[in-house]
Amino acid sequence: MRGFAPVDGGYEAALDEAERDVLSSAARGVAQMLAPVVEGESPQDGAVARLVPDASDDDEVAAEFRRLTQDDVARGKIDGLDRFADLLDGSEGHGTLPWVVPETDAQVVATALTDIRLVVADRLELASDVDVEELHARLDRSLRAEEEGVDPTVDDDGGLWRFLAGVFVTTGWLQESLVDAMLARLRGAGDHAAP
Amino acid sequence: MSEESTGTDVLEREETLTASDRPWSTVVWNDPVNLMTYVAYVFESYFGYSEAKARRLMLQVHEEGRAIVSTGGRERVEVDVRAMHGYGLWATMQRADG
Repeated sequence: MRGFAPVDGGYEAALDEAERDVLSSAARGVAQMLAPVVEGESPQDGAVARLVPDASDDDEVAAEFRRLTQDDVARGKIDGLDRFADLLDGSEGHGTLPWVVPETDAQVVATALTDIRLVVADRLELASDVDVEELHARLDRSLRAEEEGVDPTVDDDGGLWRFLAGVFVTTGWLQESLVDAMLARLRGAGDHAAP
Repeated sequence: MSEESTGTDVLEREETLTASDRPWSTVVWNDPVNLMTYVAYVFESYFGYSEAKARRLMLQVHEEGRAIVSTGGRERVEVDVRAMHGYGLWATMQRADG
């Protein structure tokens, strides 16, 4: 995987087939979780509740806000996540391929990465900045152990934690490269050719 | 969302007026997921804040746990909170103090 760099009319990264599949499936999975919210149901799942959170600790204000905005916010997220997945699924082929995100889709992609990370963070029970630091440290240890020939699946849960932690860290890294490039352009300091 | 007063005594009406006129604030809360660069991007692109102001507010969220990022009437603040939720930031609305 290579992070995003600015190119004419957009931003370009490089992802292999497995990376594209994982990100695309994750986006479609999060979109599915949001579907009942569009139908007017209040979120039951903790991760969904984070995607459409209470807007006030005043119950009346929160309920009114939810009534006014919840389905639109959820619909907007579903559309963005679907667009993100469509963009990924569009680059068909094997091996590591360039992935060009047009300027007009860049914000949608950055936000979809946040929505995916919010759900993954809920599953990883990341509640604080310290939890995230510990996750990075544990993942580093796990990767080092793997290099030394220890099977990662011996890590208590058949590798689920390792997988989710990998998605969380990778999506953060990918998002940071994209948003750094978007910010540079927004501030008028960008427009560098791709390296 | 204004409250209508119905000719009770003056004091009560004044209280109603003060409460309904009180401006609202958009509060963004720290979370362990959103990157500092993304939060700065949202503040610069959505609110049109300068790089310096966006950075100051982003750091306030990160270090103090929350920051007021906009103020105004209730409907204005509802629009901002809804936009923050769209971006995936954890935002609430509250009546401004005083």
